Amino acid sequence: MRPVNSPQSVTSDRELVARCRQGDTGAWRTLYERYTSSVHRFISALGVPAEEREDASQEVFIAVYRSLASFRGEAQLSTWIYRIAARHAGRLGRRRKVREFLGALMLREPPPAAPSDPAERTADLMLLDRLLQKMNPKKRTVLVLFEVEGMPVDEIARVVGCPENTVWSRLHHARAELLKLAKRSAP
Amino acid sequence: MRWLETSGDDVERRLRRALDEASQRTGDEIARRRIWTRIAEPSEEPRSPRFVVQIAIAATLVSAVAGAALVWPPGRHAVVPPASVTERPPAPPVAPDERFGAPERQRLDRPGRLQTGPRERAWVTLPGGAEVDLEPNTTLVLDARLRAAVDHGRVTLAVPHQAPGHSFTMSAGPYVIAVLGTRFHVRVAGESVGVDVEEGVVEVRRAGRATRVPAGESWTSPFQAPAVERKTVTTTAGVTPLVAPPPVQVAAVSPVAVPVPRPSAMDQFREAQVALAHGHPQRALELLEGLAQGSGPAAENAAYEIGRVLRDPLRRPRDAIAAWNRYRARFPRGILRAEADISVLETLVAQGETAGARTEAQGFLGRHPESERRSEVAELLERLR
Repeated sequence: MRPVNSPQSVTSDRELVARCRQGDTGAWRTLYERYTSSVHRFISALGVPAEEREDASQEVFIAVYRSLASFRGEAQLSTWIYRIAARHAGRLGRRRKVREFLGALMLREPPPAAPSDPAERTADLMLLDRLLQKMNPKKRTVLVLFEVEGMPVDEIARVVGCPENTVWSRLHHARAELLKLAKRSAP
Repeated sequence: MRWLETSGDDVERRLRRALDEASQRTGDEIARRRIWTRIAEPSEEPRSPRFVVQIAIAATLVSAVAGAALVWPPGRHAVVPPASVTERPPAPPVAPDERFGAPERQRLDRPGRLQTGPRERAWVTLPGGAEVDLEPNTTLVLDARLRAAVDHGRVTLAVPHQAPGHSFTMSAGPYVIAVLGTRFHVRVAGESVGVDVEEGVVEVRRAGRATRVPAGESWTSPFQAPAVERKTVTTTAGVTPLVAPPPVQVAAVSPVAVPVPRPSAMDQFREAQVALAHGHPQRALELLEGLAQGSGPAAENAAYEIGRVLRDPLRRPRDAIAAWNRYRARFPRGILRAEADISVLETLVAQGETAGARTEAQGFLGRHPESERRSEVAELLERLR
């Protein structure tokens, strides 16, 4: 994720993975601490509600741990973790839709709005989260990776599994959609 | 130059600011540490012997409180020392100043035990500024490290906002309740603990697991008989009431069973989630199996979730695959069909069953030509070849 773009840190990531595979708990902890903020930030921007973020982060890292053996080092570790996180956030979004669908079928009251974390949330950030939740997931992922995570387009293409031109196209449409939503919600 | 950076439009500038703010988001330090405790050793955490010890200690404390209540003269409440402190004389009783209608808060800054009688209340301030209102028949203990614990009864807390990286914690029975700054109620009756949150978010922890309770919601420790609702009067944080709250009538707990309405499918599903969150996957499985025997979307959802419970907390991947196969046979066009297919595929890969995973991946690509997971599965299939 952002801090690991230098070749030096890529190397140390590989070392970390190698040590993790050998059962080195210290390396696993270093890997966790290096990426936990990025995972939290990324899944937050992808619309995982506040009350689910902790569990979601945990599940992402468990998935990372379980899959370390299959990490071949062809992509950066950060790219690989982002892919896992994006996939997991998408799955949670689909489950949330199913729950809402079930709730509507059973004529239940919609769940209360996600509790905010008073330590970090401002009006602008809350508004952004609301707008992002309304966006198409594919466009949102590209926009978040580019505008929030500051990731280059070629790496985004590897995370989302599509050509770079598609990333540019999605980014263009995502920006237009976000701007439209923001202007529509402005007082 | 970044997008919208030099825009003159107010909405666009706000949007850029929010994106920059989102890029600085780091999450809650406490949550990060808590996640680490759960993933440091990815194997399922066994029920620790400490759990039994905690219950034993809680039971002993409750017995001690009951004994003290018998000895102490009725109609008074007082700070009494905990069992480990023997020489400290009891502090003077808390006396709300009813002439002015405002309860006078006593500051508790030493280890001790505060106990209210059957028709009494007490108002105290804890180290750190948390204000606690004690209902009748309530015992609050401040241990040697000045941490608060509710032994029995019901309290209302108003916790001032905590500094970044800090949280206020208190215990109730075997549970630890953590808050960043909020207003909430805690009920303790025997081993049953309940938390009702008015403002903010409260977290209830036990044995390395945690449940978040947002404002307006309640949490009750699982698998206890439903407690009889108590009518209570509470005060607003930081505001002195004009009239002192009257003594509270506590409903007598009748030994006769109270008729409880049959829980809805959603309630049962929620109970299963609570059971999972508290480390009772077997109980969650029973609830989900009961739900799956029904019909409609709830049964479908439960039929899928059974597989997840079997695979993850119960670590029975083969049974999980069998459960998802049952789901697929019963709901061949179900709303969670793609999820079930992916879950089977992931489980086979994790089990090293390459041939089976390959067949599953090919089946997925045939069944879900429009799926957004298609490229991911196709890539996996390539790797499996």
